[in-house]
Amino acid sequence: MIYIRKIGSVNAQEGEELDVKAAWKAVSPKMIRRTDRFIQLSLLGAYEAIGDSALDKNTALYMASGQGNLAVFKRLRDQRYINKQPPKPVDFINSLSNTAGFYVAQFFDLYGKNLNVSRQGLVVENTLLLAQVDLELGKEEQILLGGVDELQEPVSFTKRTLGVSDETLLGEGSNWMLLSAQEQGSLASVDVIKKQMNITGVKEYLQGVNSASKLAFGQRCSKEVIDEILDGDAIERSLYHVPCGFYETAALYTLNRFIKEGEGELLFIDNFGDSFRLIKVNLL
Amino acid sequence: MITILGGEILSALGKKEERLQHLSDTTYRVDTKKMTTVLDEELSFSYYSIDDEERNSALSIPLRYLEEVVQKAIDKLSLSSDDLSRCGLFVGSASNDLSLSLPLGQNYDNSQVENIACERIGNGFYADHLTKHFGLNEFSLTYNTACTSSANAVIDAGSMLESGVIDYALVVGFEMFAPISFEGFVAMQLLSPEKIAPFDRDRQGIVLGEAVSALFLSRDDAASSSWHFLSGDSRCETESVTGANPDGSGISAVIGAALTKADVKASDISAVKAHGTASALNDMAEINGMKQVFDSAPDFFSLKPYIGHTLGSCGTSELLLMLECVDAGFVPGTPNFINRDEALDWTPLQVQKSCATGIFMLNYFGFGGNNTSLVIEKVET
Amino acid sequence: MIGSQDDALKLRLKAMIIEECEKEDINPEELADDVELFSDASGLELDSLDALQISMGLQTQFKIRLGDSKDFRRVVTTINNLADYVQPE
Repeated sequence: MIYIRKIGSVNAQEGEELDVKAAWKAVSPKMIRRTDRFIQLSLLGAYEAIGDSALDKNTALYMASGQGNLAVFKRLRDQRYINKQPPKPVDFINSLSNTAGFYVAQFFDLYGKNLNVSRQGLVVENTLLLAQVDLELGKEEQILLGGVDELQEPVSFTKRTLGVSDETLLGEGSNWMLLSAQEQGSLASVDVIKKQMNITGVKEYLQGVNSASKLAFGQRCSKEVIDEILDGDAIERSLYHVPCGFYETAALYTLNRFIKEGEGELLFIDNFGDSFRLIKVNLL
Repeated sequence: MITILGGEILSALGKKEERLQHLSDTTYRVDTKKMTTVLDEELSFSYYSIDDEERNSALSIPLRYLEEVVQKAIDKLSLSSDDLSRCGLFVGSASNDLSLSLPLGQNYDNSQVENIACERIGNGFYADHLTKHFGLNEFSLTYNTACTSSANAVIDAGSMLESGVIDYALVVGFEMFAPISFEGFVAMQLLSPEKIAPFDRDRQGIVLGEAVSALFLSRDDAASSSWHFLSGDSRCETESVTGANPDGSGISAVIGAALTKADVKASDISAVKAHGTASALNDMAEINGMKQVFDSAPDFFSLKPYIGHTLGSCGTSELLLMLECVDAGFVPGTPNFINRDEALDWTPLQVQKSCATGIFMLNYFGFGGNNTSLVIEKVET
Repeated sequence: MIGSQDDALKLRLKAMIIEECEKEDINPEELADDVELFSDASGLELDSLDALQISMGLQTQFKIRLGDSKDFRRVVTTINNLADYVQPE
């Protein structure tokens, strides 16, 4: 179990125009040059969590993304295949996924570990589990963990590549939490259940979860999966649902919203295919 | 204790006997050229391609290579399906675009822009495939921190093993030729046209290469080995997005921290696998960094003249080559080194040196100021 | 006309540099012809990545290829010097 000291979110849904550049320029006019929208979105979310307060320089930075900075890749692709030109050096640098993390570290003056990780499904759960292990083992004292995904046009194409239905509303977001092994001054505790589970395992696990705990489901949990889990449960559960457009790291938005406005305990259940991961959050 | 069980690698050096011969003789083979056109002028650069005569269809290659190299490693180590079900996966690659760039590039080439392949896009594509194909534990992450990707993956594999969440870890380093990445290095003016000569006075830059490697780690209570992973440190410096500060301050911080975590002194290190890219500034930063930690020059070498700079793959690929060398009783020399650079002062090993056991340091530095240092040891069995 | 005498060419070069280096808050017309671009005096605060961006801008907009950083440092000193190289007569 680890602790959440600070949270911050930027979140928007398909159709909402999020002027990331203007918002970031208001925070840091100096750090606009060479940064693109994905990088600015990363910075803005981290700033929502940390603001102008100073972070210990050894704070590690774990940044996760489902899709990564696809926009810069598309620029490079068009440059190569349509304009028949070599990549611009700044675009090339920005196409390296860890460049966003570089700018976040530069802004907060960090020189600790700086990771950029991704995964096909359950990216938040796996990244959070790594952070939990590193804090529990004392490998790190404090970790700034973020999930960033940018909405890609055209949405019809993006929906197909994400494997979601045409009716699903897409979203984008940059959601961050400052994690610590120490309880003092924390907002909440968080525990990623280390055991991997299938749906049967989830149902068994639920039998030991007390009735006051709220349940939330990840965006990839289908209605059938949710019904199967709830129908097999002896307790009438109260559900926590946060309206949010679809993106791969939206789980962090749900957790952050619960920490901000909820109370008590939340069990977050997420899946990708047959594979399930559970996260327990307790407000302090 | 985290154990390093070994693995397998596909690179320009070919099969094991052949690559050990090259490493032992300080020779290499590079017969591929990659071209790019700038203002109607064709520029040509050496490139270390994976040695494979059967290579044809660009699309199927990444998965085939990945499956092949992991399967060979599994066979070599005689891992059972039960072992694999307790094995997490850590993939390091700088080519985040690969799963996307191949189909997209293909479609543009075929003028079928509207027919963009309807595959899922994202960096976790290959990891997901490997987990399912080999029945691995479902914990996996794909690392993209430029040239430190698979080295960072090794560090985190160690933590996940230590925590007991998994009992085995498969760390994959993966880098294949990607046109946009290659042309990006051209635009950065970082490539050498002919050869890569790390730490040499007349070094002209990097020669890129491709490599796919699979490395298995475990804990001594699950699987013992004479190779141990002692520690790793990873940190970033934000002086410049293009890499380490030439004064060596960022590099000395990471290698100093790796030594502290391993609880060993600089003088305990038998040899250092340098990053050694042969770019003017990297080699300068690296020597300056080592000078702040080591009182006198340790034995050090660069493996990049053997397989090229394999970017995100070099973490595990160079680690595996080093294991093979020490298992064969030596640490390798650095090909192409001819003239001492007065500005650097220190010179790498030029021929192999006998070495069967000891404590070794492996250093990796990348874009985004991302620096990683690993400390491993081989004990007598 | 030699480049350093060609005000229109020099303005195009200045605009390219400002665009490639994302220094939009600087007006191209205010950039002096004889100031060392990579010095504090220019007020541009350029670094090595800017040099690569300018190199690319010269390629794509002026069809000029500078082979390496030595060539670059020889040619891209002041606007006048660069203009003379781009348009020697």
